[in-house]
Amino acid sequence: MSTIAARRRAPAWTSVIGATDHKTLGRNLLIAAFAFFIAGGVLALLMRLELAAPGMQFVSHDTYSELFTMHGSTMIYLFVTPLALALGVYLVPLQIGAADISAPRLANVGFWLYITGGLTLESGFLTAQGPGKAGWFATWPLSTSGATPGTGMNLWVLGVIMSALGMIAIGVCLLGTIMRRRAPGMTLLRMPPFTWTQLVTALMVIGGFPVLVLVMTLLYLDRQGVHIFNGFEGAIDYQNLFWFYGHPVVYVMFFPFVGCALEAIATNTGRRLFGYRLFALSLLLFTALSMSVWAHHMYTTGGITNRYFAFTSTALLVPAGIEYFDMLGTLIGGSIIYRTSLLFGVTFFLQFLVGGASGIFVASPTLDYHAHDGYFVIAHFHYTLFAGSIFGFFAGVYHWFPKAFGVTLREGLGKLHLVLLIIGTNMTFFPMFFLGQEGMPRRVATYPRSTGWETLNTVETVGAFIIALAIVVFLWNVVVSLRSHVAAGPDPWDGQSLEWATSSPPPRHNFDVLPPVRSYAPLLDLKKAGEWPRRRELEETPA
Amino acid sequence: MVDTGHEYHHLFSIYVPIAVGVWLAIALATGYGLLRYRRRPGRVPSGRHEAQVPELTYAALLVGVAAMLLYFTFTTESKVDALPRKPGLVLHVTAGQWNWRFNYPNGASVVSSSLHQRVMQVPTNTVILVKLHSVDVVHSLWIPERRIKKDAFPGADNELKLTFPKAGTFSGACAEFCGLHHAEMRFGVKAVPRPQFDAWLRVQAGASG
Repeated sequence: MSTIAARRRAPAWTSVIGATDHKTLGRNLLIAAFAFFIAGGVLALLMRLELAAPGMQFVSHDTYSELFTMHGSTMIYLFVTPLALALGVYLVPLQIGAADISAPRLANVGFWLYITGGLTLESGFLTAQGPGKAGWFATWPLSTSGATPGTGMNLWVLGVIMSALGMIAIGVCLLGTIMRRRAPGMTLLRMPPFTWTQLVTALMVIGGFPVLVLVMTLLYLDRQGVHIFNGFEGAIDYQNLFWFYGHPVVYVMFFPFVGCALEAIATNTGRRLFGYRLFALSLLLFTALSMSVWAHHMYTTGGITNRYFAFTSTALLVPAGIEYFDMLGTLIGGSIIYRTSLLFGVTFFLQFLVGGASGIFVASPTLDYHAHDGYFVIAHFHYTLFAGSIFGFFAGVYHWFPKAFGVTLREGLGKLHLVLLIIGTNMTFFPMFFLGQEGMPRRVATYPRSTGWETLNTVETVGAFIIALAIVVFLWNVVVSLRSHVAAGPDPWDGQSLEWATSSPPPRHNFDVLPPVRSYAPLLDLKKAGEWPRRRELEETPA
Repeated sequence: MVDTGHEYHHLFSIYVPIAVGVWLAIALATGYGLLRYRRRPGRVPSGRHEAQVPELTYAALLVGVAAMLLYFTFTTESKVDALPRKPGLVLHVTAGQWNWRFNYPNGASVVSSSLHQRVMQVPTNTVILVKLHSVDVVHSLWIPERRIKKDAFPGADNELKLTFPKAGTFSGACAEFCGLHHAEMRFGVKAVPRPQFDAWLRVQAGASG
């Protein structure tokens, strides 16, 4: 009672502005990222409305350039990356038995840099010439002050710099937490799978994002009249620097969600993750490769060695394939409950596989000469960045929502949410493979009527609105579940890792007592040894 | 003469069946796992959490698949990327916001802009060396039917080999976003037999000169 009373006395705004509790920070990050997701999603719906039919209907060419630039920028810089790290900020200390993250004030600075950067980037909409409109990777020299003048584009560059600095700060805190704050007995090879994914994510943020800050700073100076880039070499330099950030970041937007999906699957099959050691090794291999594949975005430039990047990019199928083996190895031989979190986790793997397999396809320069900058690539990267993040994210949400909020989400609405999202995702993105094959370029507001691309584009537009409906169902589920007041208890799913050994939501200091850690599934060990109550026993024990 | 469209489809016919096969195999295995191991009273989950021999065998198989794909890619790529020593036609292409200028050796030129999209002609069964550059931002020359594209940069020529084994009219587009009228920066390519092309070129040279 006393802690609750103490918590109520603190005014709400101090917990937002000066949060040092990783749970508050993680929650704030999640809410902010999800708000940017809604914004980026609305931009996508406007684009899909314009593309539903050939010709110009709703927006001008200029507005369309703003829409796709701000859609991509919002989703990548302000939604999926912060979302991936937000999950880590909330969950990593709980999974490793720590009282808080390392350097929580730095993490808070990171949060505010991200918010300020995001608002700066979006504030371009308020300027006379509109926001950034050179695409989310702002190819030089299209992004020069001559080709894309205006304050909005400057604000875009500054916004990207600030939000990237914010992500670096948060990544540093996560790495510090994982390296320095693990519970006694928790060696690196006893960390839960999700924490492993956060470790490699933090490594990629720290390795890749400073280069984004660098290239955006150079671009800003270039726009102010300082001659930085020049001619063919300058254009290639810009692309090399940008994609040196731009490829690791796609795995930043993937690994944490693999972690979510695998944790949801393992818990609901009643056994620990299969093939854990090879899984950890595959993550490290993936991380190493992620820093050496960037120029597969540049096969058609004639400025790089295509074969080297084809080699490293195709090699990605090895660590990725191992993750699928571990998913299957966990399911087969398990005792599976069809909970929404598990179903989202399994769907995550199958949906991502469409993006992964098409990714190996575009890793081949000869195939990419056709696919590059067309709708085939749009289909590919939406299966990886959208399906390959959000299905895993929702697996994590259904899995950990009771830990964070003390109540479980409704299973029925959750399954409706899943079905709608599967239908919407595939209706929106699968036809793009065919459009790309037929030659539809990306970033066009219109296409000739004679191409016959209208039917598939209309199907995609309908699909995009089904995705929006799925998100509405999810938000409705959150609202009704939060109102339900049926306490989930500390361990509603028979969990395996330390976060299920404390109350839901956990106290400020996370743990009153830490159970011993003997493997990467410490709670499962104790339950098997009869030293920790299983879920059913919890239910049978009178409160 | 290397047919880029044919090379693409050759590689496509290797990659896509493998991709579809892998997806189906994993989807079926997932479905089997979900149905066969559904929780029932008395079912105890397996305690086995590692099986190093199958895991490493599987990893070795993945390495084999990657090596095979790279072999096919590299052999195809060397054919598609090889530039001709003695091309049958050298075509200088200049891209700008938002038009394509195709300059032929005899001084003839065709300009296709976002306002007036035009059709340029090429000879069939001729190895064409395209020398491509931009006067402003990055553009990208894409002829989807030929399954090939190449970026046009300011400051230096990029080179691209084009061949048209069959006569016909194909569409071309700018693939790299280049500003306001990117969507309309399109052109047509009409591939005709060499004599017909030569006749057209003479007329064009007269018109331009």
